[in-house]
Amino acid sequence: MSKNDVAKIKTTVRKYCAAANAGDPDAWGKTLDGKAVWLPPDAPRLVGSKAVLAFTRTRFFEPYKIKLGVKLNKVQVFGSKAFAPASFSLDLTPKAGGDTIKATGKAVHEFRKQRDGSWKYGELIWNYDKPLA
Amino acid sequence: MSSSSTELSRDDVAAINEVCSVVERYVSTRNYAAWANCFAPDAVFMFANSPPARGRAAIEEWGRNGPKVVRLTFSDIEIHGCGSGMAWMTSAYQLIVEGADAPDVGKQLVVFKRENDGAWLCVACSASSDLPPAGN
Repeated sequence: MSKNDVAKIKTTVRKYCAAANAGDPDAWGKTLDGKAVWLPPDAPRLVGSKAVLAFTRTRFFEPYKIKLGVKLNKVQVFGSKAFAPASFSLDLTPKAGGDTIKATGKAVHEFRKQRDGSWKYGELIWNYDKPLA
Repeated sequence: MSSSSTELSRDDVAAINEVCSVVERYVSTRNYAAWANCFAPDAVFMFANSPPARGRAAIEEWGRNGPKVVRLTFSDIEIHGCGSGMAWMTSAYQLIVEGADAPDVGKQLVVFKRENDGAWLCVACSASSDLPPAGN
């Protein structure tokens, strides 16, 4: 396993969180592989970065100010693929006003190495530890 | 129905498909001890609306305390290899639970590792419903 690859994967995750927290869906979308597959809770499977981005805009970026933190538990690299179970915290503050929804959850990330040596999100499944309030 | 990448042998794909069938059977018969043995000793199981279960004992306990399963079935299984004895699988699931008005349907992502004896064990599994939360 390359420490350099692990470092690059962690950089991607930092960019993913920073873009979410900045409310910048375009920057967030750049962390996704074009053929990304999203397996969100309480919604059907999404295939392709355009579908994932459209879903995420509607479900998260447009209605909420986001505060996301992701902790990768263990990154395992196998050639051009990598996996990492993870935990996360997510605060969603309605832009229209109202109480912040605070959630914690867990995920399995699959990352894909790009031709330029960077890593992007391939598949992601996540769910919450408790039903969202 | 399943598909696979060329990075896995036919035997590997068949073995992982067999694990899927075995999991369906064990969960549908509520044989959670046997189900937990489909996981690696340090595996993590992540089901919605509950904390992650780490290790076979916790996974077995999660099963015993979880929904009263009538039947679990997987479909649209896709298996991908990534070298070094690792693979991942995605599928849809249907879960019929006692007392529920309708089955839960969802999807899962499972990471597998091949043991020295050729057996494939789950090292990480996460599942999420496709349905909106109850009450929505």
